[in-house]
Amino acid sequence: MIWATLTGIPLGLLAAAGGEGGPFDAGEMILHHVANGAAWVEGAWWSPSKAVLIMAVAALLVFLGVRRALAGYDDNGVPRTRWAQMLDPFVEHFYRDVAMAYAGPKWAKRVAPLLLTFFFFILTNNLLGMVPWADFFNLVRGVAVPSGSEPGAFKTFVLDGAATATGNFNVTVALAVVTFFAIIVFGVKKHGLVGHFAHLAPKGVVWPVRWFLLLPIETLSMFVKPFALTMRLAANMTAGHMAILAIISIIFLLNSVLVGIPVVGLALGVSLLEIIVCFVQAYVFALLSGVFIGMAIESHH
Amino acid sequence: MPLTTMALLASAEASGGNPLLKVDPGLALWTLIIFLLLLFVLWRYGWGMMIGKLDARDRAIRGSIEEARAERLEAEKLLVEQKALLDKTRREAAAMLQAAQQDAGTERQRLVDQAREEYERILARGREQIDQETRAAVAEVRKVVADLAVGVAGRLIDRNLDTPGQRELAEKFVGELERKGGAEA
Repeated sequence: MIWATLTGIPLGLLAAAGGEGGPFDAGEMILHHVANGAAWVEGAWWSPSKAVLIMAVAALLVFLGVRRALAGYDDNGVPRTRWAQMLDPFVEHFYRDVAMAYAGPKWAKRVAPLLLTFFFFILTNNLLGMVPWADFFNLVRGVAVPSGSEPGAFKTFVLDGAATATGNFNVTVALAVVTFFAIIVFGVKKHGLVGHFAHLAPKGVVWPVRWFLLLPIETLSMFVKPFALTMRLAANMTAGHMAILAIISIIFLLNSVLVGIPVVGLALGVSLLEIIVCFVQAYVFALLSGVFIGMAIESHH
Repeated sequence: MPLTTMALLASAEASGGNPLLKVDPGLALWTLIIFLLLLFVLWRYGWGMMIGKLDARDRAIRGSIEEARAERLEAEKLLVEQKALLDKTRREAAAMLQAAQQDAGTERQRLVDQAREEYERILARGREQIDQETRAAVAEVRKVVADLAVGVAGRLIDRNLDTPGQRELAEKFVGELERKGGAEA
């Protein structure tokens, strides 16, 4: 009886808030949420989009956060404010435990800034992707913009809300390209152009193994490393969002408020897990970049 | 545009434009621009200083440890010195005490000796004075006795006797007395 009553409650308003007219299509909704928004400049390949806006916001937040942390240190380099104390362990870890451990104390000062920028930029993007303001803005649009009327360009990019920029492989490939070139730049700086690329065919093995086995493997590995970074980050960030959205979709697929009770709990659990993933993936990207760069610097020892 | 990109684009369009597979070189380019800009800015105005803080802290801690170690060594050295000084002082004090005790002993002895000497001297002088006085008194007494005796005898015998003969007798008598008194004294 109760079930029949509750399941009968129309969720049309919420469905409309999703921005789609017509029957609910879970797949379409999920793809819409995890994909980048439309280009702001129609038809231009170079056009910024909402992912670009989110990244710019993330970059600004990282910069302000670092400056704020810097202001919280005393003369002896001891962090005094809570904010500085929060960031300090990450900085110290990447500087001492990653950069120094893998690249050596001489190179740590040059490698650590790259790793730290990777970590905090990716982390901020990951976490911004966890804030459901896209859904908030879409809810606003569902109410404010009557269906059928076309919102203006400004409304399109504001009301389109946010997205996880790091869940888009176009973004992660650009970050991995930075790692790819950083490996080469640091390797060449340390060992010279010839010295760096000589490790593609390591000495000390018989020539057929060296030229027909190791050379192809090492060359491939040069590209596989950044490729793995690209896919790991993008897939992880997308997958979590997809899982949350799929779980929430159950409410609309079953068209029932009652189902929402366990589903919201489940979605909350996955969201909490996602926050861990945000940290882990940002850390893994930065750490592996550090390990690869360290390998290029220390490869001849 | 590289071949692979075009192929991916084509496949994306063929699959009804799956937005997850959409190749977007613009987005990659923007990412690169934003990231490199952030990297540059933070390299200049962020991480360098942050690492400087870490190094400063490192130095401060290392310095404090060194300082503490040096201070402990210094303190230990001072302690040894103090202990040696204390021992020396104690020994000196003991020596001084002993010397003082010795001095006091000799001084006391000296004072006692002096006092005894003084006492004996005074005693001797007293005795001598008594002797002298006794002698003077005896002489006086003798003289008085002699005169007295002469006077008494003269009065008794009156002019029956001539004075010189009497006097000789009297003096003989007094001489006997004197001999007697000298033996007594």
